[in-house]
Amino acid sequence: MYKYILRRFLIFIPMLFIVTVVVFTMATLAPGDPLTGEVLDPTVDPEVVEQRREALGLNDPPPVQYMNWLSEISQGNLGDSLHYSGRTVEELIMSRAPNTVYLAAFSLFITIVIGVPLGMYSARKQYTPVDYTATVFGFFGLAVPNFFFALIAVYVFSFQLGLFPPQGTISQPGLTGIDAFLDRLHHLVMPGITLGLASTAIYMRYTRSEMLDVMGQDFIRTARAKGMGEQNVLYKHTLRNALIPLITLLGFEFGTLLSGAVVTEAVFSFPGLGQLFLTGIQNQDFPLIMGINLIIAVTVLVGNLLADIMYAVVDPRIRYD
Amino acid sequence: MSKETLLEVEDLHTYFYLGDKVAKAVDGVDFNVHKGETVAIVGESGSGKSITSLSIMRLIPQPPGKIVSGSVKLEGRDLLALSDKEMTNVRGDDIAMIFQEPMTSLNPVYTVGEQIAEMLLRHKKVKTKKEGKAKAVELLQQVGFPRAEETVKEHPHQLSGGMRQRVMIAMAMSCDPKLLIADEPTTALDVTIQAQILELMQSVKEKYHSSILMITHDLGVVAEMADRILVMYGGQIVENTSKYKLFTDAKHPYTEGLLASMPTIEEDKERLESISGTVPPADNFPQGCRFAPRCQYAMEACTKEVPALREVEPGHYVRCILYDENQGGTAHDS
Ligand SMILES: Nc1ncnc2c1ncn2[C@@H]1O[C@H](COP(=O)(O)OP(=O)(O)O)[C@@H](O)[C@H]1O
Ligand code: SF4
Ligand SMILES: [Mg+2]
Repeated sequence: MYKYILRRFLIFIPMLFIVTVVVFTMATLAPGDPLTGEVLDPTVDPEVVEQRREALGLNDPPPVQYMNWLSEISQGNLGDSLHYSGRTVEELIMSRAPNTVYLAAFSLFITIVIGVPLGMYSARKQYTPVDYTATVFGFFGLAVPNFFFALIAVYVFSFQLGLFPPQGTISQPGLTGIDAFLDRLHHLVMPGITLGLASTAIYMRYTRSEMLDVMGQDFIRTARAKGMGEQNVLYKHTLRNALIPLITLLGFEFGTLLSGAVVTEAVFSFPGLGQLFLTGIQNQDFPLIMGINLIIAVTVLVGNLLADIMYAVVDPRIRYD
Repeated sequence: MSKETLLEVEDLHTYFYLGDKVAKAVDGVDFNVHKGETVAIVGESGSGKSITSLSIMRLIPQPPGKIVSGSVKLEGRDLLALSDKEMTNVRGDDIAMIFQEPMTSLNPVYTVGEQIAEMLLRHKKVKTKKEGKAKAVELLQQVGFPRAEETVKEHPHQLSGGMRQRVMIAMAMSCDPKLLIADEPTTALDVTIQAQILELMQSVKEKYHSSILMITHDLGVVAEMADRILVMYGGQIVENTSKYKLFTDAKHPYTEGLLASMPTIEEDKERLESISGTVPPADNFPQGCRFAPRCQYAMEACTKEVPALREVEPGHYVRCILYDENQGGTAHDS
């Protein structure tokens, strides 16, 4: 098992490297540069713009620019934001990241505690009204775009029923302890459900089909022939095997959550990384865009690494490869 | 050998309901298994052997399957009348089963030891997991694992097919069952391994004084293991007799065909060369004798109604109108 994990780590390092190249290349190939806006501005002297270009290193050949950037980011410097003057990108990211982490964690929690048990229940009660209802919910969750769901949710639960706040992360500053926690949670409910809706549906459908698949396997018949009861067969013999493919899904989940957060945070005016990213794009704040891109890419890579390690923990066939 | 009856199967019918079709996989099966006896069920693929054994265990996938009628009595107790919960106490403890596919019959995510210990704990043969593991080591040693202490910690994928079947046998015998059902336990294995597994089954049977219900389509296995043979065709038993009688005085035309197709030492005959055609589908049996379309002795009377399983001499039952006095058929000499 350790050999396997070590090998995964060794693959992780070059992947990380490739990610930096991709992030850099995407930023370089994107039309315009941080000073495009000022070039088009007739009140700004082209001479001054050119000087600033030179100073920022934008006239260097791309490989040189890349090496400079790489050496900066390896020291934890993601550069200065162009839009939020006087603030570094890492500072901005650190100020917004916690909100996104709460949001993602909340929706992952919903996905797992609702999606997986519902899928199991649906598999056990195959072709019953409960199963059909869950199936309809599954298609609904997948088919409805999350911004649309969010707008309906805000209209119904905030404006009509007044149950949940339509935006923000806290209602007033200065709350402490359990009150602060509950206040945050209250604000997380709607964006969290919005963000987790599609994943919950996917997990449910996946769990259902995996459970049904495993239930038809020979070793389940063996477990029954041994006299194991229905609960044991379901939770011990079936579930453990059905979870294995779900782990792959969990590995992708990090990427899904972060990209989903961009739309969700925009709709709920939720000050997280997603919203920061949109602001960055709207203002062609290249260092900020690159910084967030990098964080997202690394998170996805780490997610995959974690999934691979979890694989080894639950599936002995991988462990000994 | 005592003649005390262990298992009595009476008029068992197990059907599969597939859309508007009904597959009569098992359609009126009667037989007994005595204590200490090895009974073999033979017949071509699709004749209902596995479904008969799964019906005894009440492991028919339902839906689409259902045991429609009949009784399965173990020492006089009707298993079909038990609640689901009560039946789980019978499985593994009174009747154990091993299957054809050793590669897929063990759970890939648990160790061999865990899977054996779990069953011992379930039937209260041991009190703790630790005791269970220790007993598992002992059981594995009995079925021929020299380094059983290590094997208990291994996962199924680390073992070969033959070794996994040994594990299945160790597990099946762990609770000292009265009856061991083995559904083609050697079919998926290499020829040399087959012989070893049969030998092992024979030795555990003697050690535990259990009865065996062995399902096979291999008459070689029958010759090796069985005391009594049930020949199945089209969801029914067509002949039921002792091993000696089967090989010296088989009566049913289908049994004759099976015997004629057995490879001999001098020549390697084609499989079932003397019976042309195939097993009829269980959802569309022919009228009358189900073997009639393939039978060289078939006559008009054969297609009227299903012949009864008659005792033609003590302990020898045949389902064919050639042996049915009332039908006036003439018994041919074989
Ligand atoms: N799961 C199932 N679903 C539908 N029909 C089945 C199923 N299992 C068995 N059958 C029917 O029962 C018949 C007998 O099957 P089986 O007992 O497995 O034969 P065998 O003698 O080869 O063991 C098959 O030909 C098929 O028509
Ligand atoms: S009943 Fe007729 S068709 Fe059937 S086996 Fe006997 S002779 Fe053949
Ligand atoms: Mg079979």
